[in-house]
Amino acid sequence: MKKITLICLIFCSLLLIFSCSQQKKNEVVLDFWQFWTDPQVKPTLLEIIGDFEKENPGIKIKLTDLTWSEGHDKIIVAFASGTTPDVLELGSDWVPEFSSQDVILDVTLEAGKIQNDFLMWEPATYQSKIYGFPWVLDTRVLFYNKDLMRKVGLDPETPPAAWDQLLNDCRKVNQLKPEAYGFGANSAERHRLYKKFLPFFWGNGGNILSDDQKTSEINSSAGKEALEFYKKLTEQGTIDNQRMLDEGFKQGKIGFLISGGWLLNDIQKNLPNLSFGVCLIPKPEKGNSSSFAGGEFLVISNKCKNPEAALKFVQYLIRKDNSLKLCKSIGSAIPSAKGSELDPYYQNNKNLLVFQEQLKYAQTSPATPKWVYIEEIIEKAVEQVMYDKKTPSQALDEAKMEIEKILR
Amino acid sequence: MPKPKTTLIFLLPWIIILLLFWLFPLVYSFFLSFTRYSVLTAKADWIGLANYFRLLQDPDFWTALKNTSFFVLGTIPFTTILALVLAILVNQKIPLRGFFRAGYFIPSITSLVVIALIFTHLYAREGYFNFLFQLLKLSAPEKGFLFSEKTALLSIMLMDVWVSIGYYMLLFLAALQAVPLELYEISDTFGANFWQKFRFVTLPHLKPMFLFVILINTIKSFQIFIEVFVMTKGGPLNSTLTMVYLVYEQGLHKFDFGYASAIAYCLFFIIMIFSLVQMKAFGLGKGIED
Repeated sequence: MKKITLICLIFCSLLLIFSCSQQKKNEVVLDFWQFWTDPQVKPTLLEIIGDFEKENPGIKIKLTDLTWSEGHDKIIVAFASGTTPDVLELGSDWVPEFSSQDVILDVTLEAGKIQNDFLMWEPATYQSKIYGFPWVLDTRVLFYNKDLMRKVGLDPETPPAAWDQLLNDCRKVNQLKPEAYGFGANSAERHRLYKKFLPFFWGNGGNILSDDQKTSEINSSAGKEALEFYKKLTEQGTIDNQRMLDEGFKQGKIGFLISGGWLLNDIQKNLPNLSFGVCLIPKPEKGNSSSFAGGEFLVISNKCKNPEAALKFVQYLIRKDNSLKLCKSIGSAIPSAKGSELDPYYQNNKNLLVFQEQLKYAQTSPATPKWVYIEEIIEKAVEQVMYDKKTPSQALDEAKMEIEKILR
Repeated sequence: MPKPKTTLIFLLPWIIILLLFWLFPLVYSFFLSFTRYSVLTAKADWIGLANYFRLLQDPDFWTALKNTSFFVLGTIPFTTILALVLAILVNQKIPLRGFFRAGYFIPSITSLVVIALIFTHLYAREGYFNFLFQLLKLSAPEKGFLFSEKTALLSIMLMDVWVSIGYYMLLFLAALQAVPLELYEISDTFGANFWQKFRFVTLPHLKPMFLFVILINTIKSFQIFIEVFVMTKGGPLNSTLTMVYLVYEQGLHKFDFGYASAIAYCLFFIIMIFSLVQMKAFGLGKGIED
């Protein structure tokens, strides 16, 4: 008797499982891997996804959270083992690695239709084909401490706009050391240092690679001038890693620091009394303000079984209203959709407007799968100059040769 | 006497884990070191010894090897001797003996990441060490200890000695307490002084432990990674770039698994040779000479 009951039970549960999967057969399930795990951001993302599912009853989204520390590894492993998600969020400097390997969907056709309404397609473009959609963007600006400026007799309402002024202001604030330092210079932390040097390099008209990405133009006189200036700047301050620099700025110990949205969020949330401001990265005498820009991109796997549904979902996420909603919950991020700066959220916060303004002049790292090697060469050159091992001219001449060796 | 089959079944969980997560990756990475491996498409092209030849021409590899060797040779004598001295001290009948023993051992059971973070602050430009140097009218590096290429590696080595002493002290302490007391009593009747007792009774009994401590410490020190990862990321100017950090950079940043495996295997052979030489020098397997 017992046996029969058991068999019945097993049979019933099997039937249940079978009927469940049967029911979902005409429903499309999309695997979506993403990085927004912050308790302030995730509910907003879930809300947006919920709205999408309501609008598109046939599509269900299955969310998987990734962390910045191990997400990249997890993605790589997924591709290597063939268990890729359908839709995937990628950092801008990761996209070329994937697009060059032909493992993500070529979306040139769909992207072409909406290209003019969105910013920053370069990282997703590889050999004039487009492989992803820009979603949420970020850039670096100059943070300055108003109290320290006042202390040394500088007008805190006129932050440095030109190279010379920045250098002078840093020099003045640096006289307060060891109480406070002028410029917060990054140590040789890999994947960080180059983002601090390139704004000056690009602003002065420097180019890392030629247009055809076959040679390097890093040792142009504009580049050498920028490195010369950057070295002088680092001498008027303290050298530390990014975490300690951000900490130092929050404690009012650093006068000028190039940093990103995370620091603005942190200060606005936790240190409402800090007297600080943000401004565009100062420009050289003959040149522009420039900065490093990065962002989050949405790509679709080559193995995705329902590319139409995935494309629909991705385009829904990047739509201006939806990405605005998400960016507001993040705090300082900027939607990739053009015209977002007109939203009152940005108009009412002049710090955020500076980020919006800076993004217009900012550049992304060149879209090449060899970038990890190139950034290392650039950082080595900057470091050797910072530590007086080489002159800017020597260091960049050598960097050019090394980069061209990598490109070959 | 349990049946062999039963034994096997009980051992199976462990054997599976060993094969799957330990032995298989070990063998597979050896295979990978002869290939150019593309992680995204999981394709491995056999390129023979090319990764190993590339290694010989890579200045970063030689810097890493130099730094790692310097680290190993520079820390082990200090760690070993200081650990022995401490072990002898806390083996005496001194007040608060338990407190001292526990105190020296605490760094070994503290997370290395936490210790490294604390030391980052101690070594900072406005940190404790710079303050101490100023008090003593010594010139501290202007950029801070961890950001000057001359002091960065030395600073990490100093911390590492401090961290690892406790563990080896404990090992020596165990060995010291295993020395038969009768031997000391006999030496007393012959009128031996403290030094003679140490030289002819204690030291011979400590020999196996010496070998063990040096061997373990060599293997551990060659694999130094966490300290570098937390404190300096290999900088400044590659002055703290170590072998395992190089493997990490190549493997998990550039995803060049083939080359990273080649470096890892090179390190493996270096450690193996070192260990064999040490075992030979100490005469492994021979008992205590009376």
